[in-house]
Amino acid sequence: MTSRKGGLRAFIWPAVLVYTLLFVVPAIYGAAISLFDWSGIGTKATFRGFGNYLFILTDDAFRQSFINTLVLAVSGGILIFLAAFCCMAVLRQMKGRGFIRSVVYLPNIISPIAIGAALSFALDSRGALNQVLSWIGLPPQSWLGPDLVFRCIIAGLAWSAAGFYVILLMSAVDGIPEDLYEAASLEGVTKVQAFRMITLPLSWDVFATCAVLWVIGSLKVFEIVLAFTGSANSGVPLSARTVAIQQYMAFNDPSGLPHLGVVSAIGVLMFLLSLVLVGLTRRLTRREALEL
Amino acid sequence: MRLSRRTASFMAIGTIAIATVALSGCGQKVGGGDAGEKSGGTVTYLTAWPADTPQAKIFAQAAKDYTSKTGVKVDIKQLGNGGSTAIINASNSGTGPDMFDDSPDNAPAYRSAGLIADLSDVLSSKAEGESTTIKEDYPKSVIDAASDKDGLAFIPHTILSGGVWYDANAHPELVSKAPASWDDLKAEFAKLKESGKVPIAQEGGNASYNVLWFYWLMLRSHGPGAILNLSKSADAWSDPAVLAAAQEVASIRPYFQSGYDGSRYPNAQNAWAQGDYVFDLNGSWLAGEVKSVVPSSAKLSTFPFPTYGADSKSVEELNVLGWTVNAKGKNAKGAKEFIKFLVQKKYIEKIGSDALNIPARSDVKAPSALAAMQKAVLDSSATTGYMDNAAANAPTWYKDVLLALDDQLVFGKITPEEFVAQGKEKTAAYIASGTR
Amino acid sequence: MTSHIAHTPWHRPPESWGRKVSRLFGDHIVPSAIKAGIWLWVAFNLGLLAWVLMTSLKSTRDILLGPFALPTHIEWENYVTAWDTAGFGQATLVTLIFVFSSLVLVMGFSLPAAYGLARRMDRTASTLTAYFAMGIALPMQTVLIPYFVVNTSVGQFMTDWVTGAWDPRIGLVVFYSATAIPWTVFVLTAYFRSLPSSLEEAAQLDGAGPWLIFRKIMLPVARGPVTTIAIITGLGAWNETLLVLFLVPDGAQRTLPAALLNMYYGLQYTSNWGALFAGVVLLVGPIVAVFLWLGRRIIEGATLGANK
Repeated sequence: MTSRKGGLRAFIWPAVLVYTLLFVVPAIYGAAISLFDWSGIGTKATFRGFGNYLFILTDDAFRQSFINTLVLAVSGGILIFLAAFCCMAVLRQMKGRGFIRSVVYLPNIISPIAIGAALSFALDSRGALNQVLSWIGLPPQSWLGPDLVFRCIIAGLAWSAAGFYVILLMSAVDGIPEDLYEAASLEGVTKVQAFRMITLPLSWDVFATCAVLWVIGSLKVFEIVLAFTGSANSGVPLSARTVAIQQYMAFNDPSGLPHLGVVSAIGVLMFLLSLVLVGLTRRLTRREALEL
Repeated sequence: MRLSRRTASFMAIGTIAIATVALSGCGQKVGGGDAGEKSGGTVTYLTAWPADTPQAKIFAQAAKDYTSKTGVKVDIKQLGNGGSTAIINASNSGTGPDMFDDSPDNAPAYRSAGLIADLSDVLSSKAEGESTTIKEDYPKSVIDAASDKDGLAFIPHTILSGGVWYDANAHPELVSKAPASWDDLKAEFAKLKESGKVPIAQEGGNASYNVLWFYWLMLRSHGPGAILNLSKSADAWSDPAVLAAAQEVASIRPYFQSGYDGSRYPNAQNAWAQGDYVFDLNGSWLAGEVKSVVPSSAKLSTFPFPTYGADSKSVEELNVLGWTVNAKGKNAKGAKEFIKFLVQKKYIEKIGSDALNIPARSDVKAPSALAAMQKAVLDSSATTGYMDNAAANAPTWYKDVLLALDDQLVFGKITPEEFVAQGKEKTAAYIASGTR
Repeated sequence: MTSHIAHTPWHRPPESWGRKVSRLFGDHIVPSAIKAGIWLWVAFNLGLLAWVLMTSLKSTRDILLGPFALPTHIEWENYVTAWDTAGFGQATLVTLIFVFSSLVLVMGFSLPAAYGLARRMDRTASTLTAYFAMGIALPMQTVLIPYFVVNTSVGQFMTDWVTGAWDPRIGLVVFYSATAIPWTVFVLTAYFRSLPSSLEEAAQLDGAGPWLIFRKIMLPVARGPVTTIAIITGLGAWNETLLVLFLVPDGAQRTLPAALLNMYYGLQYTSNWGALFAGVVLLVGPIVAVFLWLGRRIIEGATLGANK
């Protein structure tokens, strides 16, 4: 017994070592840097205490980016899980559901840069979407203008991410025995009610996990915004900045001297925020485990 | 026993890995300071020009010619979208280039990082195979524009300026009688709109283009320093000229193309080049950028920004693009030699003929579209740097205050009065915070 | 109970009118609307792919004619521009090496660790599992600056003192692998736990050591899901952009997504949308190809994580 444990220890410690030395320790180092004002190797580092954090929390641009990120997390999540719930209600009986799942999942593995580039081309004022609208008779919109661009980003993000959650939840749905639904329909329960009373409660665990995964992921949204809006001359408009984007812009400071302490502080705040949101999400989705 | 076998295999792998790294090192020279002294050394040139631009091709050709002539290899690397930060970071960590290209509005950042070598010896030398010193090859105003208080920062190859672009073939009446005053121009806008045309191509997605209207109106009102002063004192915003300029900007919004605020850069200028819109207030580089989409029936031309108000100042913007030598690079000497080769007339000429920009040398002509602009810029009694030097001296203010507020003004999200009030407030906050 | 209901459907009380409406809604209208919506979604995804492909084959003039105009001729030049001038050929090579090296490192460390954690049923194991789980919530953004500083310092050190040349991408592979380990360990631990221990018990009774059991029994059994996790890790590495932007300053040395971003930013000079879309196809094409070939596997693997 002991020798087996000892043998397994050797299996585990290399990964723990690598993880600790190359991920956890740098994170702590990053937290240390966040207490200084530093512009890179070769420049002096002055201690600032929590000055960087105060700066972030009071600066307009950062505050906007935090708000944007939260809006993205919430509204993106609503869009995604609405779509996922709809699929859970009907996909099981649809013909070609394997095909549907594959096609719906595909955008999730495509680089967000490619998605942002393609979508922003289509959403230009003279682009494909406005052309389609004109065929239907609807007025064209400035999709990439300051009012709508962030909503388009959220929509694009939700569209590309939804497939992942659909397949996760569908695999949970597939585990629900068919005769439950048969019994229900014989009782006169509609399909929609069946979703609410059978499907959702029995897959709630998986849904809770999905919610946590989404919340963690939504805080890190970066590439899709860059590809949607960024340009060499103007950076990303304020209405579209997420926290990760704001960090990148602090790194590429216009004065040429990056404030690495501020950049690190944002990173630390992002971690704390993800812990808080994960805790919140788990509390909101907590339920008695439903056994079958 | 098995434990030790596993440990042994780990150790073996580790040893092999280290040995490989060490052996690979043996085969290579350890980089030393004398890399340039050897015959057939290397010059690393970090260029901001994407590989398929005419400028990149001109410089690559020059590099090839240089290598075949001297045997010195020129390693051209692409900067991508990293900007000055990438160059500064790379140089600080010892992997910086020997030379790079940029414009004087980034000079302060490079100077504070100690990255600009002393270029006076290049100025007093002669270009390859020519009889005049390099300093004499350029107009004085161009050399001044490329210098700051510490001396010459860049050896220029292109002059950048701005004006109003239009298609001379579609609107021949403007060739002889370009709108001379702002009111004339506005009347022209109104006339065009009435006849069903779209007067202005506005690149809503590019903040540094949106600001051009306000910028030129302020330059005409107060001359050089008009914009820079707005970054230095919040009270400067109370000047009635600022409100008047903002109101003018708001008044021309009806003449922009519909959907301009959702237009992704560079779609508006491409549509303009194809004849969908009439005017484009832009930089001297526009013809070069739309080269691939402009139909052969068009003849792009420019006129300078019109006079404005009773006491209009005749100031032109004179900015340059050029090369500089990295003081922290390994082969500064080699870079300087290569630059002396690059500034030959035959290469700078191509800036005009291939890249459709204004070449910086005095003995090279600009393309016909830019001839008038070149003359105006070089003859002008007063010139100012890019964005009135605000982008160079107050970059954070420029990006976060001026561009941000101007975008809102141009999109109609705030009124001119709000623009002035918020400008005042944010400039005061900027000055108080002490960032550059 | 089921049989009781099945025998007496005709004894159901007559439906009220409200009931009828709710049945109409719940059984027909809403489900049909949803099904239509799903098919629309599928059509949109496929349509977008086709549209991107079509646009990549149009010349700049064709593109400016209109987003849905069919190409007048096939502009292969777009792909040549993307491959050569925009450096996508180089970037593909870089990306392949990056993906492969990261995979080796990640799987090499994660597989044994996951097996070890799965079979050790004590408190240390569950603490360590939670420790790895924390890594999933730790964003890359927190470690960007430290990675940047360490990578440039190591690069400088190696260049000056050891080998004379150093590639920042070595740091990229190492650091990226470190950040990918937590999720991989977590998912694989859950999977190994789900395998019955009877598999190994026989071998243990024969006196086989843990390494032999791992190599000769567990790995072959787990080959399917492990391959899938490896594919997913590889896909993640293929699409990784943020770390590349921070750690690899030289544009020519970057991976495909960064190359696409570069080209995108350079669009203002060339307006070559066709080449940009060709770049998109070059970036996305291999992924789609892998997906068509192994799609079901990938989907199975993605669900392993949630169903624990």
